[in-house]
Amino acid sequence: MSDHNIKIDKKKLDKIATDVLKPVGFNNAFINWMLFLTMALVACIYAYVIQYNKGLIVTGMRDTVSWGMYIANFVFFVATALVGMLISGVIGLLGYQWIKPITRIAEIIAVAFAAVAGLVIVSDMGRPERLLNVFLYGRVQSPILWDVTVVTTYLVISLLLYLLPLIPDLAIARGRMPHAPKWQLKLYELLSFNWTHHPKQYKLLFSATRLLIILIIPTAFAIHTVTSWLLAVNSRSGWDSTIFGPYFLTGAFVTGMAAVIIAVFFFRNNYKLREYLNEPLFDKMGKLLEFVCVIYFYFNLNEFVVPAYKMKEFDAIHIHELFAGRHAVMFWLSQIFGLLIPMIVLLWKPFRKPLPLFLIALFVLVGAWFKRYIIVIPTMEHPFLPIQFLPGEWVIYQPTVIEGAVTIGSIILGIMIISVLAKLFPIIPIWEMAEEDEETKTKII
Amino acid sequence: MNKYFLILIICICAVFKSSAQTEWVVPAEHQGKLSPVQFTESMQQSGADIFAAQCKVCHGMPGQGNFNAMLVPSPGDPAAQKFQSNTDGAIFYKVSEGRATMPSFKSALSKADIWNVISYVRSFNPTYVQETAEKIETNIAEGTLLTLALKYDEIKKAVEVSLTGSLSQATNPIGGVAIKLEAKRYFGNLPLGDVKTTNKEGLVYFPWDGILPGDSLGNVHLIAQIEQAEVYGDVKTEKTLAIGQVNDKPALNKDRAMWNTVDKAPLWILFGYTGAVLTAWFFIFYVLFMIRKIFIVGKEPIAEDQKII
Repeated sequence: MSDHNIKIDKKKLDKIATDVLKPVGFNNAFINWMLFLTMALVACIYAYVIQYNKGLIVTGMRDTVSWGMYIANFVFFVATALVGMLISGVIGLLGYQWIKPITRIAEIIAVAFAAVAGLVIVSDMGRPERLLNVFLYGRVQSPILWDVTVVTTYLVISLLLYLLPLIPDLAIARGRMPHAPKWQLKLYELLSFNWTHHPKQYKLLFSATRLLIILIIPTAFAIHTVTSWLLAVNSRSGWDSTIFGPYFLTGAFVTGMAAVIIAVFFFRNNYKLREYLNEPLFDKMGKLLEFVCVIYFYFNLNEFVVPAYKMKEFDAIHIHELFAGRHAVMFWLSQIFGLLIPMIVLLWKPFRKPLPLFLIALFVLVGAWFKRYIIVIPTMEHPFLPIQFLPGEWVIYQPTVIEGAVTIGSIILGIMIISVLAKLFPIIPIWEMAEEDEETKTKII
Repeated sequence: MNKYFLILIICICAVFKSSAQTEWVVPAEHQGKLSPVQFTESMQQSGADIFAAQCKVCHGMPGQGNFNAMLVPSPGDPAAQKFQSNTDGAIFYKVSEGRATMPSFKSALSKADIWNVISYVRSFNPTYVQETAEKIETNIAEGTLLTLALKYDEIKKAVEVSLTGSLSQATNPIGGVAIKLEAKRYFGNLPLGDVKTTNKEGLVYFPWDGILPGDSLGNVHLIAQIEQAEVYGDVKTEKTLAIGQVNDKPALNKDRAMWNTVDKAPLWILFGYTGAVLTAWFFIFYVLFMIRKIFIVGKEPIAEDQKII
């Protein structure tokens, strides 16, 4: 990309800038929406305050199941955050041009979910004021320290990858938003880093972006592989798996892709950007979702069928619980509605139209959340060391209302970050869309 | 018909076996054993300390019923009726011998210690009236203070234990008293050889082959005591001697290992982790540096033919 000579079509730029910048700015509808979210968040924070004062006893976690909904939710958040890498990194490096309008949306999701993932972990701590000790006294051999490191690094890279391509857009927007408030223009000026559309500036921007999209691939692989190792380095049935890294990674692509489709569908309608977020784009996104679903299905097949064929002593207990036991309903619903049916119906073009694809993505995303629950909790209910005569409520995990509220709070927080970023800055990269066509064809690496 | 008969016999045997497990039968000769001395407040106090350190973990605090009910057979509350209905001798026997999950304290506690524990446990029973054993006559004059001493005899290759008695400033060797020698372990003591009786010089020799494992300097902690504590009183002596086998094994956490502390982490993981973190952050800072350059380049004028927009 760095040797690429860019030429921007002035006419095209004017049109795109007008369309994309129109929904930018904090209007009344947005303020009402944020007020609603804030009120809901305050209720959830109140639940967290109760937990902070009384300790983790207010959750459903006890001696046997010490990783509950919070950890499942954390895995879900990390998984969703990975889409930034999939879109900008993998698909972008392969040279596909159709991703241009959705790269920024994918990065917003990556930033929001990676940021909240860190907070979700803090909500699982009984003594959050000792968080700093993880860094001060962390053991370099522990995957927990690797996870903390890699989540932070991924967040920073995602943030940079969000901000860098924004620089020319902010310079473009500055002159075209006469009604914007002063602070917003000031912020644009600050973040556009003296951008004058100088060819050297473009050159620098290209090499910096290219460096980041290469760097984000191993980082994103690390973040989710390490998250899977938090579980897989145990010898517990259901976690003791050599394919847990790729299994998690492919699952993350499915989750993230569903989140992007939902967001793109929302912006297409609410921001009136049908011209850019068009049907062919949805068709492509649908195909990509289908592709990652098939890979994920393949890993699921390995993850469940192989132990189910052998039925080793402890694996058998675990598999029975999932297939026909207490977790069977959640397991089959998440597998069938969250993976199997979407994977099959997406083969037909009509299902890759915006509305059907949006609905499918909703099912996939909700299914993905419950799938993380299925991965974390049932395994914890069957410790290898037999513990006798424990009270029933210590063995069987049941999330409490407070846990539910804190988890919903994390989701609200994620939505709030996305909402603010999507109203503060343009959500489609204006300058990349306005590039002249002949030039872009040579852009493939 | 024969088959049913056989099954019946097996069942009866099984019932007997299980009932034998729940009933702890104390041999008749131990039932009537009595403490040689009257229980005192200081005995109770020392018994309470031993109880807290050795017994509480399973039996709980006497009278509070907080014993560990998960253990089979159930330890029970020492203050409860079932426990207190044992004779002193029966409790002494059960503490000494142990069974199943109840360990034998024969070598872990001295006889006097066990009596102290019994005196403590009995203090929770208001209706208990103590009987003491009749005093056994010995050939040692009343009021003699017995003293044990032990040392290693290099020439004889044996541990020498001497017993002396002092009465009105005169000290004399005492013969004909049974002595036992033990080495201290983590739990309980290890008996070394048989019980031996002192000779006329008040001496007894325990042959020493030096194969007993000691610590890193070969130190072993030896305890010599009078076997018949009921007769002669609780007389003992302890000494650490460097006569064991030098046991200089490296500490288990000496080498670098995955499970060790962070300063003993394997080198490959130290370098792998720091290397990966430094590499990633080097590029992050490099990108920040490029943004700074973008800012600087912005001040340069652009030639007309190079204009992008």
